[in-house]
Amino acid sequence: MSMTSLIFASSLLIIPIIVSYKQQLDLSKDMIISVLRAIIQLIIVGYILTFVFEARQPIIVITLVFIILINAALNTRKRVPNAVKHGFWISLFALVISTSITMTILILTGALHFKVNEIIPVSGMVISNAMIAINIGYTNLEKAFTQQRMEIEAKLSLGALPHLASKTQIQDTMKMAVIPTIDSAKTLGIVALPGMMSGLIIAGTPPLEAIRFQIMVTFMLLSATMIATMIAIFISYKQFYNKRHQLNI
Amino acid sequence: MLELKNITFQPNSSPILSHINLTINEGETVSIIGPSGSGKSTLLRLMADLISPTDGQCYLNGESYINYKPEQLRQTISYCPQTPIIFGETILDNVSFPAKVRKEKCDIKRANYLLTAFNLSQYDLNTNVSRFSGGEKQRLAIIRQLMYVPKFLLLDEATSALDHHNQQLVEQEIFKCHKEKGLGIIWITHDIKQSTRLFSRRLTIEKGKISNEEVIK
Ligand SMILES: Nc1ncnc2c1ncn2[C@@H]1O[C@H](COP(=O)(O)OP(=O)(O)OP(=O)(O)O)[C@@H](O)[C@H]1O
Ligand SMILES: [Mg+2]
Repeated sequence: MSMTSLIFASSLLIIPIIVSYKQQLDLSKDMIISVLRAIIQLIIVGYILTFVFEARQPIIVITLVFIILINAALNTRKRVPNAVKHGFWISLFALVISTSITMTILILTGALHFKVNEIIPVSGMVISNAMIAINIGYTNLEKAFTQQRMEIEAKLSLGALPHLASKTQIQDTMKMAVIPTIDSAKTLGIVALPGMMSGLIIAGTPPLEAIRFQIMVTFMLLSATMIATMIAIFISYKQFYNKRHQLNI
Repeated sequence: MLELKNITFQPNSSPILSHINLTINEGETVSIIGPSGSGKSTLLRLMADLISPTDGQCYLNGESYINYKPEQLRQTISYCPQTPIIFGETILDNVSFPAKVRKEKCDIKRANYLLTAFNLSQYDLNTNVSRFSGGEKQRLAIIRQLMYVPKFLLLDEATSALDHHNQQLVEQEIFKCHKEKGLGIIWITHDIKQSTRLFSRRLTIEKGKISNEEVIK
């Protein structure tokens, strides 16, 4: 694909901008900013990756993964419920644990090689999915605790511990966070040919090999999103309670 | 014995309750009346340790609340909220919750006994409660509170949605627990007749203060 065709492709953006303007969705500014951000971020990453693509030194690989992790954790801050302190650190912790567990298993089983060109794309996918799941989790946790505070208090007044009093809310929140990943796994191949697989095929990898990779990634996404949301939700729900096990919202 | 010593609750600039002093003996029955917004529910929520006073302290048997585990306290002094809240899907989900709290098996016999006493015997434990009427929800919420009889039961307009007959059934069963098991009752009501008929003491709350205290019998 040449640069000129890419520039022509950018004319596609005119459609959503017009729709947003006509329908008063107030999204034009957001859209333009996000596109500009995407372009700048991708160019920078492109250059970095060109330099280090064949690197195997653990320090380079790990540093790059860590940069992704930190950016992802920063991106969850807006969704952290008001009652929850240290949201960034909770998210970072959840992301680090979920990514390292899944990546370690795949590296140990030989499904993945410890090389920048394998680790970075795969971990990027895993972390971004986990990040989205955490964000959905935070949003719903806040909603569940504020909308259902009377139910939680009714359970507390029967002598329930915080975990039992908010069990339904925690379960619902967890489900909502992981369901998008499960649903997208269900439609893999039928509706969505995932980005990485398509990329591999476009770049000339035989489809069956690309599929093997995609199946592995799907496993990873499922387990990573589950681990990440579980950690983030279980640490943060406690902060809706004070020491006397009263709701502090 | 339940004691409130110089309790003030002031979440923002103006106090909702100020300088409340109150002693309620074990097994005593007290009604609370007063205009809407005067702080009655807040008082009961303080007693149930669902909120903490901004000043002053509550005591149970001479020990400050702070020295009790919240769960232990709330199983002893149990608050039935003003709006009846239903848990889960079935009657069983509701009546078994107090057992779940104590990690015990649900006493099905007691559940069925209470359902009958509260005029809900046409339903069984697996009945779905999502379409329950306001009054049915209110009765189910009280049944849930009586699965284990606490030392003090705090009722917040517990029979506001009930007709006269059902109101009497609920009163009878609750006062039976008082007579047989020494249950102390603190009951907010807007029904003056109810407050004179049943209780040994009546408190009037106005603008966050106890404005009147009467011994009835
Ligand atoms: N945590 C809180 N923060 C601020 N205001 C509160 C809080 N809790 C209660 N209030 C206010 O305190 C006042 C008393 O509320 P409360 O529910 O105790 O009244 P009440 O006497 O039970 O009234 P009703 O008979 O209508 O149930 C109300 O004006 C309420 O808005
Ligand atoms: Mg009230």
